[in-house]
Amino acid sequence: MSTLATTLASSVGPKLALALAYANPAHAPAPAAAATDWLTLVSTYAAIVLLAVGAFISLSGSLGLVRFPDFYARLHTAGKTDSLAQLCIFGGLALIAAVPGPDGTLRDVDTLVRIKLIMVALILFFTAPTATHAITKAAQLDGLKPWEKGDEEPHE
Amino acid sequence: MHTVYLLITLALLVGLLLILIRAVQGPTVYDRILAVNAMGTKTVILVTMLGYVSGRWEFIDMAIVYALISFITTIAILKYIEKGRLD
Repeated sequence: MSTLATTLASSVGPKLALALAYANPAHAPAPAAAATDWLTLVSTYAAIVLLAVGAFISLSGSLGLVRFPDFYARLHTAGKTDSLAQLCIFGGLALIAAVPGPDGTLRDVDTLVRIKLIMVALILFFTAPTATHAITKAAQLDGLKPWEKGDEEPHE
Repeated sequence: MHTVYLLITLALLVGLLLILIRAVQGPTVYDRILAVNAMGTKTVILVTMLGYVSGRWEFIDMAIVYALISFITTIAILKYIEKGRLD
């Protein structure tokens, strides 16, 4: 098979030989190693840091949503952490260069995926504060009073 | 890098469980709506992270659709509570 491929490469052309090699998985060339230049390295580390920061902010926001005493205090923690955590995580994901695909080989993250990630981040960046604002307005119109100093402890 | 994705996904799942506590025992209906809204945002991030874990880009399109639907749902519920009707 290999000799056939080399003869084809010399006679017909390298493109057909390459197609033949890909058709037979035993003769397929090894997948090219991911580029490890310094830009990829720096962006990968920046992505890891951004993802970790986003996960921490998201977890602390969830904890505050459970632990805070009052509806308006919970609104404060949930509304702010959601926007910041999604910005950090989507920004970190957009910095990543390559991802292991379903078959185990590295797949490059192309520009369309990055544009989609930024689009999701922008959608959430505008809709999450709007939803928080609407919740606050509905609660206030309904007559929900904020918890003040001197009031009795609100029940959990 | 795969481990990082899995750890972030695990952190998001723990956060979702914590928010679920608030959604179940919230004293007022607004606590529940707030918790469901926060769950929606976290679910969008979770779906994208699952796309990165499995290496399939289709998950990002699902995340876009889920973000839009979650926003519409929250606004619709709040408008219904505020005005008593949806038109």
